[in-house]
Amino acid sequence: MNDAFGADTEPARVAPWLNKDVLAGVLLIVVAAVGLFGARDLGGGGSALMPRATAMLLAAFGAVVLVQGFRTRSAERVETVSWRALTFILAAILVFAVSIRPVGLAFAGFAAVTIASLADPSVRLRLAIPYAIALTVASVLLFRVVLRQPIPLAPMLVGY
Amino acid sequence: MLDLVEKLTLGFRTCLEIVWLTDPVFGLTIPLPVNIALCFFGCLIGTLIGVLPGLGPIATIAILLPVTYSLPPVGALIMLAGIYYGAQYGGSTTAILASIPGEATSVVTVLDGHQMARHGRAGAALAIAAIGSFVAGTFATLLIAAIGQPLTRLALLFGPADYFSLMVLGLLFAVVLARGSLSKAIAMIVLGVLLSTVGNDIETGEERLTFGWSDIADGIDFAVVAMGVFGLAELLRNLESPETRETVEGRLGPLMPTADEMRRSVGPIARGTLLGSLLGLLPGNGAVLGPFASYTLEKKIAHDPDRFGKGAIEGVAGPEAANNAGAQTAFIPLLALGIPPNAVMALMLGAMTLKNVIPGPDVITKQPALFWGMIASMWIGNLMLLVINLPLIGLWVRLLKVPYRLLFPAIVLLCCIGIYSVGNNPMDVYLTAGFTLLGYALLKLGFEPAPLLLGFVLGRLMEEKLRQALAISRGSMATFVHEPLSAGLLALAVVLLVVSILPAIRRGRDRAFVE
Repeated sequence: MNDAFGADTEPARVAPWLNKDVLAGVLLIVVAAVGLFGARDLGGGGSALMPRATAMLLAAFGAVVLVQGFRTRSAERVETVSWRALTFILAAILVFAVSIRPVGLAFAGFAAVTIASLADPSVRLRLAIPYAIALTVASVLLFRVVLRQPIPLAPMLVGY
Repeated sequence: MLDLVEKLTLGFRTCLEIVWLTDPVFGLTIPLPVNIALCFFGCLIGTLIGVLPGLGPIATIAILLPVTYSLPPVGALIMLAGIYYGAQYGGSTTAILASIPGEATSVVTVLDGHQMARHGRAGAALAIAAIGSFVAGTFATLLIAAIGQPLTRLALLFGPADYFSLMVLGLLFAVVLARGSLSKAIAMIVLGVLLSTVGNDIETGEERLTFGWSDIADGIDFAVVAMGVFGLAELLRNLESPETRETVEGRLGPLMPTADEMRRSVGPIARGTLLGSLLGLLPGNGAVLGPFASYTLEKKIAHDPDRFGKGAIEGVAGPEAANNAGAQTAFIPLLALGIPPNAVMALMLGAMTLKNVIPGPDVITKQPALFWGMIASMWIGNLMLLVINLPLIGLWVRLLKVPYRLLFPAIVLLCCIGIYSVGNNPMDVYLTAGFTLLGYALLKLGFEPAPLLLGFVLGRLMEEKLRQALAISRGSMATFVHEPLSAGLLALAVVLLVVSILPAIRRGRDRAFVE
């Protein structure tokens, strides 16, 4: 009817691997499969009931979402992922996890803040480093001194 | 009535309890009303984090959860409730000053609140929001105190099968009101329940779904899920879409509303309070509807509806009262039945469970001081918001302007330290990274994470009730439809599902017709 405005033309087909709902369905089915695999050795009845039942339900809903993704004509494309933010934030958390025990908060906190700062492309290291030092000092004061949490400070330097 | 007064007195006495504490810096022993102090800090920190860019009440509570881990149950719950009110109020502040609703319930406040701010009446808008919230909070607290106990007696009639069905119904109610795809929302509940089964079996002690990983043998910590999915995944989303904040520059204007403004607000506050309280009681996230209903009502009965949207104080007073009343009465299903109606209440339930407090009939009878202390603290929390936060509005305005690039590294650090301090176990931090990734993937694929949390929090209890029911019926699933109460609840759940699917079917048919 309204071809000039493209209202009735078929929307550009979204490839299945970029289709939001198809991917969502696949994710649910994969998680369900992992759940079913994990529950394979459980003694029947009681303890296996809930994991198996929910995993199967999850797979069923995954299938529904997947089919919806294929059937809808105006399929949505998956949103763009900002890999930079994801990488640096996850790296910051992981570095904290690795170093908190052996090296302590004085380093782990500093490293986590510095690495996390890089998630924002406009942040300059020249400013991020002093900021990380300030935040680390503040967190040591808050968690060690005020809240008295047994978080290692710098075991190699001060012994706790 | 006398009974109620007696109970509330017990509550206030719990709140006002004085403990002799040694302060960590100077080693002095000082008397301190600990619970009041915790309520105060909760409100303060809640508001502080709530007004910071990009942090709504759910993220605020998720991030601050570990802080309450080391506290005794009463103190922890009082502080969390304080954080909740503070974060709520922070949401209203950002709505008025920066035109950013902290969460769905303050969307309406933006309409007239921000217009008032642009006309130099920001102070009055914030004040009327606080006053309206206080009035509503007072009423709702009394309501909780009055009907919480009878409802609990009702809950005692529920057998395991009925309870299971009630939870199914409650979970469904929570998703049909949510936006977005229904099948995706239900899938999130199911995923939450599945995640809750990880760890040692409640009866046999068998390790389930741990894949031999001993660190999760006790189950996945609730704070890990909440912080990964709500705190950090949310942060990632904020990072890629820097919000444009239209902060009001210049003067706040006088804080005190004029006599005329006060007079105009009385009616809306009263009506908003009633509407909000009733809607908040609904299973499912009824509290969200309160502010919308109140705004529509006020606009409809106003002499000059044209003023709405241009800075009418009625459009702030009514919805804010409704918002707070609903936020408060949403505690009723949680406290009386143990069923959280929304994600914030799921966080509260999770926190309670960690303290071995299982909401429901048992709490009122076995731990009256805790139950009534929490109710009394709700009122005190509302009072605190009024007396502490209004004078500090200047500070909140400045916090609003904190750039996100300074904020997010601090949040990452706070989350890491918080999670580590929960069990002094680095493995929790690794797991949090995993849940951050999962939460981010879910957001990118168009899932709402709130139902996941509801399912996760209720999962263990659901399984317990399911297995109890099956033990009683000797393994027959038919018990769920033979028990009249359970059958009724399940039937209601089915009706609810069909009704919420119908429009979709109709729309599909309409499309077919057009073609």
